[in-house]
Amino acid sequence: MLEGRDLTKSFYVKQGRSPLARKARVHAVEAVTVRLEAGKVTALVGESGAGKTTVARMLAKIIKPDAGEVLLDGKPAPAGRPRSYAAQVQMIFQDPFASLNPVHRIRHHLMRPLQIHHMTGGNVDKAIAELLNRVALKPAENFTDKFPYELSGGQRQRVAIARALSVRPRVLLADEPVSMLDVSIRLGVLNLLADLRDREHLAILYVTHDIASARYLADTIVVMYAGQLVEAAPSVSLTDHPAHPYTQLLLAAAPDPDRAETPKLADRGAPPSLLAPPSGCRFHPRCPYAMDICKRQAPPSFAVSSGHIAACWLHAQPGEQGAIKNGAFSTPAGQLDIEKQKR
Amino acid sequence: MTINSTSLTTVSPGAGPSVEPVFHRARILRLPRSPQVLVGLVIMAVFGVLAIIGRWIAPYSPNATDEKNWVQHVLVPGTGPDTGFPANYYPLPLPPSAAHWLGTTVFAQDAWSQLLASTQATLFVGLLAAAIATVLSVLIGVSAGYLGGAADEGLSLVANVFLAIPGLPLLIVIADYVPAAGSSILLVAAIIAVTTWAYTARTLRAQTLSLRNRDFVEAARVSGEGRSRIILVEVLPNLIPIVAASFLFTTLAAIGAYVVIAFLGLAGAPTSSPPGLWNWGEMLREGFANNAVRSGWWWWWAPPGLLIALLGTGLALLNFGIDEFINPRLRAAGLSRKAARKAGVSRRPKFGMTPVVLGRPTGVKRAVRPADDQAEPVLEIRGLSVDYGYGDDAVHAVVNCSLTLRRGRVLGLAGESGSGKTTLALAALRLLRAPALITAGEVLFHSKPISEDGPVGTIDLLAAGEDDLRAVRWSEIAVVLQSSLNALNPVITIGAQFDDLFRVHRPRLSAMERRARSVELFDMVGISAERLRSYPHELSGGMRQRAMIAMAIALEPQVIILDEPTTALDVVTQREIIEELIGLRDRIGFATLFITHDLSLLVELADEIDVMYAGRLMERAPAASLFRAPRLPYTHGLLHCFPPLHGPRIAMEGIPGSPPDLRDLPSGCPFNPRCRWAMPKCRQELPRMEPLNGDAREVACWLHRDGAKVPAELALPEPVPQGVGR
Amino acid sequence: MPARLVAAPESIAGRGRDLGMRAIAGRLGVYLLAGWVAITVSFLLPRVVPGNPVAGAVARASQSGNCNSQCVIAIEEQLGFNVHTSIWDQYLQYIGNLAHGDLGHSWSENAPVSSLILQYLPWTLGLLLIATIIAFVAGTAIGILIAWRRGSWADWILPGATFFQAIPYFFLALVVVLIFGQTGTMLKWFPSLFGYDIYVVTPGPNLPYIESVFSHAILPAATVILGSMAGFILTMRNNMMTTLDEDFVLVAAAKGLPARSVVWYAARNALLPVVANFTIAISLLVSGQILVEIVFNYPGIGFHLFDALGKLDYSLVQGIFVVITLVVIAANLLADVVYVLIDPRARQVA
Repeated sequence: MLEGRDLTKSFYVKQGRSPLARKARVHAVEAVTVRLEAGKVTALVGESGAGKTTVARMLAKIIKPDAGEVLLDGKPAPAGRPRSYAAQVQMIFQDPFASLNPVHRIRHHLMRPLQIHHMTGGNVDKAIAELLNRVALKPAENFTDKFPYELSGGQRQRVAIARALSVRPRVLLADEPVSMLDVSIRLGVLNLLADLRDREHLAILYVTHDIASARYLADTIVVMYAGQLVEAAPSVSLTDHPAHPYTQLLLAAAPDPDRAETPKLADRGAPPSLLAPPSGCRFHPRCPYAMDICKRQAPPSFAVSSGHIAACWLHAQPGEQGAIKNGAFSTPAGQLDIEKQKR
Repeated sequence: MTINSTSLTTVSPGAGPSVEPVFHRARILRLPRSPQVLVGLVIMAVFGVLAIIGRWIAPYSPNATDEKNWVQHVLVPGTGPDTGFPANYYPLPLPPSAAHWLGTTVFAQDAWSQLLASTQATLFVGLLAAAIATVLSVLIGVSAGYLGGAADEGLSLVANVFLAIPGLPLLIVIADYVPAAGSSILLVAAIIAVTTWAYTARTLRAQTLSLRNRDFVEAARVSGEGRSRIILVEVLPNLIPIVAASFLFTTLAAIGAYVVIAFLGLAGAPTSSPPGLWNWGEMLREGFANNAVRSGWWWWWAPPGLLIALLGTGLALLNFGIDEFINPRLRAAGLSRKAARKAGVSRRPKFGMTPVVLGRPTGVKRAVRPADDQAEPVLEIRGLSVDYGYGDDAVHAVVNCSLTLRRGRVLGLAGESGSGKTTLALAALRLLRAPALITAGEVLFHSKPISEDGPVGTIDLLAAGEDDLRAVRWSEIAVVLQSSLNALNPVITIGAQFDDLFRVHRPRLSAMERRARSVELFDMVGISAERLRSYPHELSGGMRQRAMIAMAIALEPQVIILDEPTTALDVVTQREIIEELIGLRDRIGFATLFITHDLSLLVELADEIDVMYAGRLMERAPAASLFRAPRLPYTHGLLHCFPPLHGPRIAMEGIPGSPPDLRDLPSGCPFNPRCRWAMPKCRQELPRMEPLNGDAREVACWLHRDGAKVPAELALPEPVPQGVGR
Repeated sequence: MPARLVAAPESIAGRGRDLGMRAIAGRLGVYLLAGWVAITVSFLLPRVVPGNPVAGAVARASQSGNCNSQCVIAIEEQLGFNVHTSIWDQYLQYIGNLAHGDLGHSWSENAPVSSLILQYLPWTLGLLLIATIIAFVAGTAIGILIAWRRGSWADWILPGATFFQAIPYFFLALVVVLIFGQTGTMLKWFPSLFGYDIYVVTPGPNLPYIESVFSHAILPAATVILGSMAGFILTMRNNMMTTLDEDFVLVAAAKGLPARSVVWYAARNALLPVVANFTIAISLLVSGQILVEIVFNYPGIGFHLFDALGKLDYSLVQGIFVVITLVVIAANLLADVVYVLIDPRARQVA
């Protein structure tokens, strides 16, 4: 339904605060392809700085990709951010304390999108009450005239979801919707998202750093590392049989009380600086299986099993790997990885 | 370099998770009703009324001379014999009388009438100038901040240029070249506005810049809101407190500027043609020019000056209120003498030491179980209670909590935000800041120093003096906080922050030895020694947290309190840091109090876990028991909030309802509104922690008392010990 | 054990200093622009303001007894009245002269403006420097104290300080003269007129002169200090209150450092915004100084600015304005340098 194809984005940050300071290029996202389908939750998992939020924002058309395109129903989405797009693709933000304007009542937050998109259907109050009921804030009249600070974090996030739902979108982009919430109410919000998927057939992007919650909610998990897509698979397949060493690391590091023995990570270093990402596979400096080719060339996506892809040379078919070794591809390394991923 | 941090205008975004989030909810959307603000309001109201009705209550025209009272005469300076000018006389000004409440000037004009006329004009010019300046600064500041890019750079440059040019001299030069200014209120106000707008513009720009990136603006954009509506409806209302504060500040500056140019004779005299306006500066100028000060005619020159000062004080007092609204940290939250006496704290509280109520109830002594597998206790907290605020407003953040940390063990303290877990831990070291107050309990520290120095024997930390407490702090009990960026002093190098630690606690070490020890510690946590010369912001989050841990073990303490040490970090880094900590614990042998909301992490890590809810400890059990066989409904719910990484995917419930509001707790058990097994008794009576079946665990829940029927979920069998005990 | 992976450290210190220098270079650009704007405004204003202010000034000048024909010519020349070259040519010449340090000729003193200003400047700078340092140090210290001892009597310093801050400098000066000044009527403790006793001592490196200069500086300096200290107190108090709530202050206390050290930890950080906002303070201080000089007849540039205004000596007015602007800009630049020195984050690699 909504697809981001080969999305690439760099930011320029100033080195120092002077107006004369040099600007340095941060390679935030490189050639990432994500496909959202109706009635499915796709999780985008990665550590902070992996570029997950940037991908979500590109899909929401808050920021413009440097390269690649956003497709809605297979057609390129209109340029700019027209209201027709806003009516179909909505976003939920991480921090419910920041995503609601502190000076406005809940009514304002829900009424504005309705008015903008002419969806009030005559009775604003009824429309608002319906929305609040849909996110299980009942009775609605207890909430409409409250200010955000009068609500708890979970209630606020539900209001934010109600706001996103108000325009009857087909796609919901949820950027870490539960990470700022108390543990005891996270599942409630996740279950609400699952409900929306099942009952209203929404396509949902769930951006998170918590792979366990991604496994719980999502149908498909996409793992990102240092701005690149490293693995994508149906969620159980991915968590039970991780194919990429980074996914394995992520799973080993996640808290898991069921584990008989605590894993030993030793010291695996930190994600690279995106100002000057490592050559080849961006994970190779931390990878226990790093081979020679990993340092030289970025791996394309290889199919591990049906619907399960991993961008790792370990999964290359012997012939293909050999072909590259023999110099069959003579494009420069940076070019190569974009070229390959387009296939 | 753009310098735009002003303490007055820093909106704390979401206010960050500081000591107790619950406390931030107490922030209410209205001006603090402090006596200062009230006085300010009264002053401003009086001025407002005077300015409006002044014209009608003035007994005389400000220019009229009272010829009846021309009795005595004064020689005009610079005239008369020896000057070459014919002698010229003024009447002698009269002191206050019934006819002239504030006396007269040398021109026999009524000072009171002049003062009233002046008040009106001065205030009017001040407000008008401030209005123009504010509109100008809102336009420029907000558009620069919102548009960003080249527009921002251009507009900021203009503002910075105007800021760098000194205001008064510019004002003097402009006013001097525009002599017509004196007779035109608008012109005077405009000139003043031109010299005062830049500061506010810069402040507003910085604020808008930060608001622009806030999620609610982004959300409005995503919902298809237009740009102008976003600025007007979403951004501007958030700037109102700052605009208001700036407006008051600019009003004061404008009045000051007007008075000054009038005093310097640049605003036109009321008697010249075209006539200028009567204003405080003009009155002062005439008084000064006619020797009123030296001649002792105070009724002429003193009132306008005092009125300026009074008006300024009023405006400033109002501004205090707005500042405190913008930045709640400014509310003077100190323990006043009165409150101290009321709370039963006799001595003046010392800085860095949470006050403790004297004669407080102390914890109940319980028989220490002589279990052979239990190590001896190193830190015992007994019946500790902590309030925020005093008297009736007090929020009971921690109520009657007892826990025992054993030598070399990891004790987990689990709870959600606002449950009081951080408060409990910091209270033990008396590190909580005002308005915290320790109202009950004792904290016994059984010290057996690992390294050479340090006290030996049992110390009640709540009763200890300042020096005794300082000797224990860090040297025997160290603390690692959640945000390592905020926990390290940003302006000095990390090496220097190690150094001062050694200088205080290990004064015998030489500079060389201190340095060598720091290098050794950095090596232990895997950071290269040259990082000692770095400033905190130059390290990554994980590295800073390692540095904090290195600092925590620097003096080989017996206890380390870890307050959400890995919450701000990515999972991989979190895992590495925990590995590091466990390794160090095995080497040095300190006991650990590990505080976190992440129960699943604790289960892997801790020997024993205490679960906290709404300021109360509700369950304590060995980690495996707690995980496999929770007895408390809350613990059970919390464990089912963490989806597993293995097995079939099943729907999970979480816990219904919202976390408790400490200011408004339900009666009975605080968890009862969210508990699916709640009984009538749970709504009436607060359960206490009591041992369960003589077990090595305790729980505060009516379901396990008096033969109540225990739900199957809460009666799972204890796990079989695996003999892997750490 | 394999070599640990750390994000490239590459000589942070050296790079930081370099960035600090660049930050200051950026500010320098702003200041150069500000200087140019000030100069251009003072040149342009009399030429573009509607209603022909020059004609008015010339008329006023020739009417008043203060201005002879020589003066009228001087004004005309200075303000571009009856001068038959284009504004652009006048401007170029004005800038050219400025570049050579030629600020024009003062008709009232019959001397080059630049030499006059050089003569006035030490008085102003001396007084300003002393007053600023004392006000800054004392104000900051009091601000720290109030924040540290919140909840005590110290809270009442605030409204008092606010009152003093709200009094206009010249009014404060009048009251100070009245109470303490020898030209006042009450205590008559200190001299309150001129920069030294012009009737008794001869200027030069002799002890009576120096003593006289010092005693004459007491009241003006006290006035500036009294008037400006409140600003420092308030800012520092607010910053301190905010900083004392920071985690690193908590950690400093947890480290068992003595209370004095903890407060110093906080104070160093709280000082940063004060230095960052020094622009405002310095502008207020200079304004105050000008007014105080006028009331005390103190022979600095502020007093002579007022004097020149009265005498319609526009060359001197413009020259003094330009010099004051330059002084303020220099002070700002100094504050920026200090800021970069005390805040490592100003040298930050973003």
